[in-house]
Amino acid sequence: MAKFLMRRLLGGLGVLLLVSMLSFTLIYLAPGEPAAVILTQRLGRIPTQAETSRLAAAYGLDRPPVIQYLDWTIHALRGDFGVSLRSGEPVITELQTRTMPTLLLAGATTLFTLVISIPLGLWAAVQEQGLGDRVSRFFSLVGVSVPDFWLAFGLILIFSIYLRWLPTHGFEKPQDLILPVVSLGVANIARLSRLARSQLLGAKHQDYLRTARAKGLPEWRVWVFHALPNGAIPLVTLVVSQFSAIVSGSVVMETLFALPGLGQFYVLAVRYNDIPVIQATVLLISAAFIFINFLTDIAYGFLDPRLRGSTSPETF
Amino acid sequence: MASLTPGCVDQHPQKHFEKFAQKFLLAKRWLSQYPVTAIGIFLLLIIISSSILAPILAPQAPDAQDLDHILALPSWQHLLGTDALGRDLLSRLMWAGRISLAIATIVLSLSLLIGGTIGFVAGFYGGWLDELWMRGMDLFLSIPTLILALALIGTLGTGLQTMTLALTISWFPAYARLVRSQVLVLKNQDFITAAITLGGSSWHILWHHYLPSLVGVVVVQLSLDVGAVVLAIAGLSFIGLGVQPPTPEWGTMLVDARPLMQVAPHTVITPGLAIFATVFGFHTLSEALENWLEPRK
Repeated sequence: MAKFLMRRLLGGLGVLLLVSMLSFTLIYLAPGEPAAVILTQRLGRIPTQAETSRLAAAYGLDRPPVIQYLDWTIHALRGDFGVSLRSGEPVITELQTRTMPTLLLAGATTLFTLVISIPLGLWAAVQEQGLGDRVSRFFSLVGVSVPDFWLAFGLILIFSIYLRWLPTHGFEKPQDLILPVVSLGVANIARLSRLARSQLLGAKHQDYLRTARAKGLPEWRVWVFHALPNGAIPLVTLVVSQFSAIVSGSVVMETLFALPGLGQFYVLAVRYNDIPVIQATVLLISAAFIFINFLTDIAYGFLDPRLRGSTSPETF
Repeated sequence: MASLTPGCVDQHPQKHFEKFAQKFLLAKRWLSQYPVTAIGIFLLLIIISSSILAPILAPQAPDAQDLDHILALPSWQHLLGTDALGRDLLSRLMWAGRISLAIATIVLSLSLLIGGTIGFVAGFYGGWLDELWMRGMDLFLSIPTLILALALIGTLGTGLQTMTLALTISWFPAYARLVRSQVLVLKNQDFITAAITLGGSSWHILWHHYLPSLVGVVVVQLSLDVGAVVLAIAGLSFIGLGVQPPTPEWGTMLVDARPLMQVAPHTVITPGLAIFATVFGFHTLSEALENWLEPRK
């Protein structure tokens, strides 16, 4: 396991290196040379040749790309991602204040998803072909197809405009997060509860469940402590990949609900072609995911003792 | 399937009609057994045909304004009502479906072509090429789809081509992974080994042994992804970074309608329902295909 984790860690760092190259290259993908791109944004007009070369010299943009990449990476490692073209502020200061709301949103959504979908999956598996099964199957079909922003409109209309229970937007009180979390969570609940159901049904006729029942355990203990942990690995995999989908979704949700998070910040940067911010956000988010994936590998070892001795990912 | 019903065995080639009727009955029985699938596929047929035939079927031009009927409720004149500029909602929905489905088709064809080739070559030949390419795919897969797509849109600027390119780059690595993993499983199967032992050429084995076994998995994934790409297009357009107005698109129609949520709910409900129906339809289609191709599950 240690050998395997070591390999995954090195692999993850390798991917991170590739991501840093990709983020750096973004500025070269923009039409025109980087200095001209920056100046066009700043001045709001096409800059003259003299202005462009002056800025290029000042920012070191006239050096060979490899040197610039190394320079950028070294600064990035120190947390210096340059200056936002839109606000003129250092990118890192804004990133710091913007990360928390997104983490809260994504964390709360993941928690909400788990709290609803695991019991729903259990209910469906226990009452196979019964009411619980029908409710969960219907929900999983409809839930995955509802666009989250459309659902958000419906929720705003009902809970904010008609009932006046919850705010339409903003980020001050805990209840501000309820509507975004529910809107983002529904599709994920649909997928997760469906997988939980099928995992549990797969365990239903296994010998270890019969043994657990024969020991005289109450039915709920049989399901929760014997059936559920045995099907946990695919569930963990799905929860992790959903976290990625939630971050994608937060881009739309934060814009809709005016949450001052990373997603909203990113959309502003994309609208403004604010390349330093785009580079930093891509690198940060992908670093976070590489880290999460590494944690997941460790979690697998805890969930399945058989994996602890293994060295290859093929057994997963 | 045909042998399920006695008398279906082809003894009288001239009885084409009877065979057709048998098939029809089978299809009918299948659909009544799976009503949800039937609804989903029915919705899909409506959406796809009305998108393709939008230039012929749409009652009005998508940007034609009827200023006497602004925010009109559904009526015979405007079957789904009109928006704030007096444009016919039904016509706009049809044209919007055309754009979304066309982009989704391009994105997924390119993803399949690029990703499928990479995945196949990597899985088939293995070695350092496999290692190198798959780390490259990990690069794209480590960034959430919309974040990656938006990074490209932010650098290259908004536009239909950029969005198509951005979505393709976000989608193709998943196909490389999928095809590679399938090829790795197939590689060690007896029928492949047998074909190699019998001296089949590489092309023969590829066409007659690998491809038929890959088609099923890929088709199931494709039909699922059409819904996902349509959702992504709507999401990008919703934040103003996808399809640009005045081109009708479901996501942009929703944003335009947001301030009118209370005054004219139909302007919000209809584009959302269109997205919902499309995603739902492709979802059920994908599920039906999966069950049909792999009944054991």
